Order: sequence, then C-alpha cells, then structure tokens
Amino acid sequence: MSTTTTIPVGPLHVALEEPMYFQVEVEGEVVQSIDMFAGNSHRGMEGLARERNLFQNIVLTERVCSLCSNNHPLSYCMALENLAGIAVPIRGQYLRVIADEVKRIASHMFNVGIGIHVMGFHTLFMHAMELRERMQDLKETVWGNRMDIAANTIGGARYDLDNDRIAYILRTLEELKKPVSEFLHMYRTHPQIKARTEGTGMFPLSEAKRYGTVGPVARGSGLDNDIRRESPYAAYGDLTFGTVLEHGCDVRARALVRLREIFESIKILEQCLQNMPGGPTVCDPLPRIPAGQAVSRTEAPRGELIYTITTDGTLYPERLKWRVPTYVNWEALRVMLAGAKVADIALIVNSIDPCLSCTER
Amino acid sequence: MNNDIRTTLESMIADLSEPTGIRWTKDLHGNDYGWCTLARADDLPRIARDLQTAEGRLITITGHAPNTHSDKGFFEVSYNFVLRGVILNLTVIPEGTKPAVPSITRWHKAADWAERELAESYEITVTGHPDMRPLFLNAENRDDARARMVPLSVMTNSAVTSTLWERIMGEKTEGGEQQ
Repeated sequence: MSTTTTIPVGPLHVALEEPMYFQVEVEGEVVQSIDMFAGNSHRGMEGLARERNLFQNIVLTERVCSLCSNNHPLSYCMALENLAGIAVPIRGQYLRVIADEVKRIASHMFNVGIGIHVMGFHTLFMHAMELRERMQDLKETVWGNRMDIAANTIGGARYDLDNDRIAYILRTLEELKKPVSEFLHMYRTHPQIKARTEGTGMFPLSEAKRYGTVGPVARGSGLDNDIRRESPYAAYGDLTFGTVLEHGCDVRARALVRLREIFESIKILEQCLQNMPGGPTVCDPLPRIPAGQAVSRTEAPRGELIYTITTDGTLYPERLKWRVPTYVNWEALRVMLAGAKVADIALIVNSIDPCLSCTER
Repeated sequence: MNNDIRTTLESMIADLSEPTGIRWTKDLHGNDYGWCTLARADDLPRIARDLQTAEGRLITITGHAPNTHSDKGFFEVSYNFVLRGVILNLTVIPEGTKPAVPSITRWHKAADWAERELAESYEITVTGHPDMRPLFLNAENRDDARARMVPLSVMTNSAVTSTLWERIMGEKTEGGEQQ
C-alpha cells in the first residue's frame, strides 16, 4: 500500500492571499512533490490592452497588481519611449525612481510581515505592518493614494515634488532607519524565527540559475540579476547603491535580502531627493508613436518585469505582453517544497512573494 | 563589454543552418537590443542551447497573430533572451496550417509555463515539451479542483503525526465527498 497521500491545497484559503491551487504529495508530514494550477483570477488584461489606446493603457497596466503597481505603467511607458526614442527629462527620471523605491520598501515590508504572520509571531507581524504603514501614509500624502499612485505617464512623471514634500519624505525615511534596523536585528537573531526559516525551503544557486528565477528569490541564492544595475533605466545609472545578495538559499535568506534592500532603497531615495535637478518632469510635446516593436525591463519589488509591445502606427497597440517576476518564480517551489514539512508549506510559498494578479493578468 | 556580447550573439546566429543577421538598437540609457527573425523554426533549439551554455537566460515568450502576417504563416512567436544585460529578441514564424515550434524547456526551465500558455492561447503546437497540459484551470477541471479542497489551516494546525492525512481523507470519505 502506498504511504503517499495527495493533498489539494487551495485555490481559496486565508494563507494564500490570492487563489492558487496546489496538489501536494505527502508522506506523513513530508512533502514529496507538488503540482500547481493557476487560472482562478485570469482577467484577460493583455486582450483588454488591445481595446484601449496607448494612454488608457497606462491606467490599465497600473491595475495589473497593487504591490508593484508602479512598475507596470513605468515599464509600459518605457517600452513606448524606447520605441519612439522619447527622451524623458532628467527630473522625470528621478521622480520615477522615487516612486519606485517607495513602493519597493512598502512591498518588501509587507512580504516579510506576512511571513512572520504565517509563523504565528503576531507581535512582530504587527510591528512589520506598522513600519509598512509609514510608507503607506507617505504614499497617501505625496500621491493621494496608498497603492495605485499614478506617478508615470508616457515621456516622464505625472507628479512633482516641492521643497516641503521633499523634506517630509526625507524626514520619514530618517525616522524609518532605526526601527527597520531593529527589525532586521530581531529577524536575524530571534531563535523562533531562526528555527523556522533557517534551512527551510532550500533553493541552491545552481537551481536558481536553471529555473531562471529573478528578484529576491534569485538573490537569496546568491544569483545577482538586479535589472537596476544590469541594464540601468530611469536615473539608476547616476545613483550609487549595492546589490544585496544572501547565500543561505532558504526562507531566511530571501527575507534578509528584502529587509537589507530597504536600506539600499532609502540610500537611493536620499540621493534622488537631495540631488534631483530642476526642469520639466515630462517630455512635451510627444512625438508620434511609430509602428514597430520595443522591449523594456525594470526591477519590480519581486524581480525583473519585462514589457514587449508591437504597434502598427495607430493609437492602439497591436500586441502588448508582459512577463511578471512571479511567473518564472512559481516553478522554484518544486525545489523548495520537496522534502519540506507540511507545516512549512505556507511559509515557503510566501517566501517567493507570489502574485497571482500578476501571473494571471 | 557589450561589444563582446554582441559579437558572441552574432556568431551564434551565424552558426545556424540558415544564418540571418541581427539588427541592433539602443535605448537612451545605452542598453543594447538585438532583433532577429530565424529563417527556420528548427534552428531555435540550437540557439537556445548555445545561449544556455553561455549563461544566457530566457525572459519570456510571446505569441502574436499580427495584422499583417508573413507569407509563411499567421502567427509569430517572439523569444526574449538576455545575455549579461544584452537583450536578444528572436522571432520565429511557425509555418503551415498546423503551426508548431520546438520546445526549449529542456535548456531553459523558464520556458515551461510560457510554452504551455502559448499552446493554450494560440493553439500553436510546442513539440517536445515535457508536460504539455493547459497552464490555467479551465472549465473542465475547475469544479473538480474546488471539490477536493482541504483548508490549509487544517493541515498546518495539526501536522504532527503521520496518520494526519489518513484521518483527514477518512473524514472526507465518510462524509461522502470525493477524495
């Protein structure tokens, strides 16, 4: 008699923020293998994009996903700018980076917080959410919204910062440093967190390369493919920052990458806010978007995001396609979950910071 | 350095059975993009293998039914690879009334889902794919998936003995539900 049991997990459950269906083969408490089925929240957005004009698609792409909602319209606009040779004014490029990095801090804090929630460490979870809330407040104050901040347009940024707002952001970042440092120290040293995350969900460097994984999932296995440095865009080429790598290859390493990246984001934001040149924020007037093909890549909080666009000279895209970081990170779960304890499934799944809205579009 | 990478990519294309050229473009930040349409879809595995050997990475695969299609076929399939920061956009035109492209999942695991989605969305056959099931839940299997749902909380809260699953599945059987 076989001792292996097949357990369906999902598609709907509180531990899965969005619907994904896992079929888990277990022997006792140990996972032998998994299979995954997506499709529960497919919205056909790439089809919708063909029905909207090039400007309306800025709004549409911002709604692919809320956590990386800035990177979608940014990458989309960049693809059109690459196609038409549109030069974004330098101030616009700095403003784009500022929006991007604020979103990254909030996203990373959210993922690490949820991971701690899954561990059942609720006081630290609340602490994580409180820190993240400061970025939510910042977004609401600067852009008027907590998630979709509408910072991008074709040819530049849709917002500007005056001296008062720059001072406010710098002050908020300064206030964030100490508690995030304490949080990072707690994450590194707390025995309960260490016990649950160290050696859990192993994903060796060789597998990270083989699966083509991106973002903190790759960097937690020592694989450096940060698009901000590999193929600089916006103002990143002018800024000094490091790529955060961890070599533990486990849940802990992936969380530490995210937490340490918060400090790099703060460093980037401070440089932008202190050195941002004056001038226009957007290219005006815009040239006609010609027929052709273009590609753009950005580093979303979860990793590399690529947009490809084909136009035919009209105001409507002939084909718009995007590949989100989670799309290539899902399969890594086959490696991470093999041999894992059932109790760690949710923790390991959370460690890839999965996004169904992005995956299914 | 980008010139070396460009040369590497050009020599890969030159080694194909029917070599074609690469058209290079640059964005305003100096990033390089190579554009190439393969003369034969059969050449795709070779360049996929060569790119993997050179530590290149597949980013995505895009199916497209262009308004103005080629004489060869109605579809285009674009493959976006990256080699140390340089993007190579390869276009393949699946020919004939039963369009097909060869799978490259063997060399690039990132092609797995993309090829399944390509087949599901465009009915383009991907030959040699190791697991050609539809990528997304569809009308046929969606209800079945939900009927078999076991809440994760039941699993994680009580995952302490090897008999746990026998109990859970036993309860479901007693309740007359499908296992």
